[in-house]
Amino acid sequence: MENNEDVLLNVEKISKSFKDVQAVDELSFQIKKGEIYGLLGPNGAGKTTTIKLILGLLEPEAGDISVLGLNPQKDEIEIKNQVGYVSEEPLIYKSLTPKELFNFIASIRKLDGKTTTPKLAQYLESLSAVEYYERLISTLSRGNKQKIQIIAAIMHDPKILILDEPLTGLDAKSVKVVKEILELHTKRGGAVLFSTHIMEIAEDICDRIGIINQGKMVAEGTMDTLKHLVNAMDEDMDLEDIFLRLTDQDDSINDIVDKLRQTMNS
Amino acid sequence: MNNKQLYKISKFAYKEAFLESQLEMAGSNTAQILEKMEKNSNYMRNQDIVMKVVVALYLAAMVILPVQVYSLLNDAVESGIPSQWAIFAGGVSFSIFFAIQLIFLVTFGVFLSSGFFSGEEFKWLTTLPLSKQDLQKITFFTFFRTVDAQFFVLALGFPITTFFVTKNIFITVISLIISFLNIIFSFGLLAIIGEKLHRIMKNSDVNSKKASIIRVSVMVGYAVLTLGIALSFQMIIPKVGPFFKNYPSNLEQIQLINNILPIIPYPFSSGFLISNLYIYINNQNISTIQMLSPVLGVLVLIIVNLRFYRKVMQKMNNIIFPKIKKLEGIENQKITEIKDIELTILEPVDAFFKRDKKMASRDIQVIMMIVMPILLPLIGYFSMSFGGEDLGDELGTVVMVINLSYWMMSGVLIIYTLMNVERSGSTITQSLPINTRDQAKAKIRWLLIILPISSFIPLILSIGKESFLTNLVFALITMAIGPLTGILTLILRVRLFGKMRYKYVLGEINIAAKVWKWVLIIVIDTIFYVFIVTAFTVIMMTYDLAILSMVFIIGEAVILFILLYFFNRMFPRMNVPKI
Ligand SMILES: Nc1ncnc2c1ncn2[C@@H]1O[C@H](COP(=O)(O)OP(=O)(O)OP(=O)(O)O)[C@@H](O)[C@H]1O
Ligand SMILES: [Mg+2]
Repeated sequence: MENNEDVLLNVEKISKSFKDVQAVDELSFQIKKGEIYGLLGPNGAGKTTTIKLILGLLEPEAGDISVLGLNPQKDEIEIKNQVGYVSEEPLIYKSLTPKELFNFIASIRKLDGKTTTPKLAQYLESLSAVEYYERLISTLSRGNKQKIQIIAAIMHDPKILILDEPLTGLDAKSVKVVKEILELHTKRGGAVLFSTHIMEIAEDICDRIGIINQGKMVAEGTMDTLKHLVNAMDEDMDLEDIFLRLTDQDDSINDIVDKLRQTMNS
Repeated sequence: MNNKQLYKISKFAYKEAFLESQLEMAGSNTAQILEKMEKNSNYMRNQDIVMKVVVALYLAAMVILPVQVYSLLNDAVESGIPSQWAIFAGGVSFSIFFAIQLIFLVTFGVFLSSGFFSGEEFKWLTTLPLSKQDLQKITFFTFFRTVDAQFFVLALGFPITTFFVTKNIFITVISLIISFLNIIFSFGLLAIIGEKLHRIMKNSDVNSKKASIIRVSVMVGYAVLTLGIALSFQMIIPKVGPFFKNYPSNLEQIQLINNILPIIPYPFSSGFLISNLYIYINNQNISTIQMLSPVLGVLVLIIVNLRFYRKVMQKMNNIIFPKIKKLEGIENQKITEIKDIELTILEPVDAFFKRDKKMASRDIQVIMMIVMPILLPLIGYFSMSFGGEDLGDELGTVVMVINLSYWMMSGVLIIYTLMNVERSGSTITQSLPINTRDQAKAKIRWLLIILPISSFIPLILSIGKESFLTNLVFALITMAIGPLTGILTLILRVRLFGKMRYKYVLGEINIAAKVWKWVLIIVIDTIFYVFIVTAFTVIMMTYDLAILSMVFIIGEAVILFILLYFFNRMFPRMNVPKI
């Protein structure tokens, strides 16, 4: 570790299994100040599990996690004071309104009403969610629920943002706004852990990417390093192919495409 | 497509509607239901069958009332009770029978009917190449499926009873026609109420006080009805006999009533038609003119039914082609402006409590949780003291034990329901720096609010009676038992489901052997319950209230102390540094 102070999140050889599935397998990575780190992997790769371990929602079987120098198992509350988390399923209280939800969150976080209100208003406006402020969350569309969840995660100015597939369901404009928010957040010295299974999103948003498959890290680096890796492996391959190959999906995908062609042409 | 095929297709829409209604009723329990479905793919089907069988059996059992009325009418003819009074008593009794059937049908069908009107189940059907007429037929068939069991029981129960009791073909045919008309009326009403309920429950303007009040009263009313209906039927049965025999001396007024009341189409026209016919056939002692008013009432019923039918058809049309309805909805919705946004910061315990309160006003299960503990002692009181006299010593003790049981059960129920509320927003709570002590304290606050009310309500009823003082002392010394049971359950639930290496959480972390853990909780609660109730009964029987008070107050203090010890260990005080 060259510069310890800059490392906001350190994950070292963590493992977690559920009954017969090894969901996370000796996974290690670091996230530094001002960095957006992308956790990229196919469905079931172990992204969500990793995130839950980092937040202390699950207990690792082995390995160490340090968030801002704190242990998620012991210092859960201090960590959550400084982390914002968007979960992959928006299981937010469906029988509340966003207004009630934000009041609840701000109270639990012991935020200051005077300084937080204008921030909240600004976030709601930028994401065009003001008009839904007093409607039942259950009646909102998938994308609007997601916006509420994102705002809930950033309203307390966290140092680290942990986002599990945060762009699901968002329209183009909102995606742009969220990207802008992330940018500003890192400029202030924050860090982002961003999970996605979509290559383009990772490429577009993240400074550094860790590709994981079956709980293991298969490749890590900036976009350039990864591209370099691609060229070294095979001249004809683009990043998409390398992603598929690294995550063992390339053979099967060719097969599937062949079969699809046969069915749809006949 | 022919009707048979369409009827088959409607099965899928019905399944969807049933699921929707189950989820709507489940509220904060939604996740649990989905889990059960995952484990057992037949879960919904079984649920459906069980519910239908129960409702059908209950409806079928209700024919005891007409059987009784027929036999009383027969007695009246033979024993010379004035025929006007027999007609009146029979007519009113039959009408009560029809009315109870209607209330029962509506109460137990209204959520399914409301789920049906959400229209969710037809969304994908409209994407299939089906004609408008076919879609309409499917909608109709789907609604029929929601009431099929009830339909057959209602249509045939009364006529079959009539046939076996009277052995008269003419009355049987008439009763068949009447049953049929009543069914159309009942189902029309069910559909219309269901549709209204759907609009109320789904109303997006959730913040208006008016909407909340309506919603809460709908749900409280529902809870009261479901509890009340079972009891009321049992109360009515023994009253019918005396009702027939105690007639007033002035029968002219009764005759007038007999001529006017049957014009009211439901439920009186059909009730009086049958009782008039029965008396007419058996002793011919009444004028034909008197038959006119029930016939008139039945004709009005037919007209009402026709209107209902058209209205229901139009509402069903709206489900499939909902354009206009949706627009109306949008106009009513509150659109917030940026200047309206303001945060209100509360203490964490208050914030948890307020959140639970908000969710409670929108969730039938939580409402039930609040209403049941308050209602149960009341109903217990009424059903026990139904004789009218003040309760004697022994009976008094029985009532006290029953109430004590209610409060202890309520404590468990409240904790169970509140824990489910926690689940429904788990991903948000997971991300928050929650001091579990605050969270647990907010739950205990619920116990401390609901259960004392529940303790003191029966007391109000005994004001002015001899037993008041005893009841007051009883309420005071047992008031803590319910909350203590609740706290015990809370501690057990968190210990078994929420233990992590360095802390306890209120969410469900250790979900293995879930059923066994709940069994364990129930067993421990039951041991606690048996212990308390035995102690109570033994002391009450052998000593007196003074000794009982002493033992209980000391005992409660000890239990409280033990529970607090565990509570503080699991939810330690914390000084969260504000950064
Ligand atoms: N609570 C659980 N019980 C059992 N198995 C689980 C549990 N949670 C995750 N798993 C398993 O762990 C593996 C990793 O799951 P995880 O949710 O972390 O994947 P993911 O990368 O987030 O996938 P996705 O892109 O679909 O969100 C999967 O095989 C999953 O089935
Ligand atoms: Mg995931």
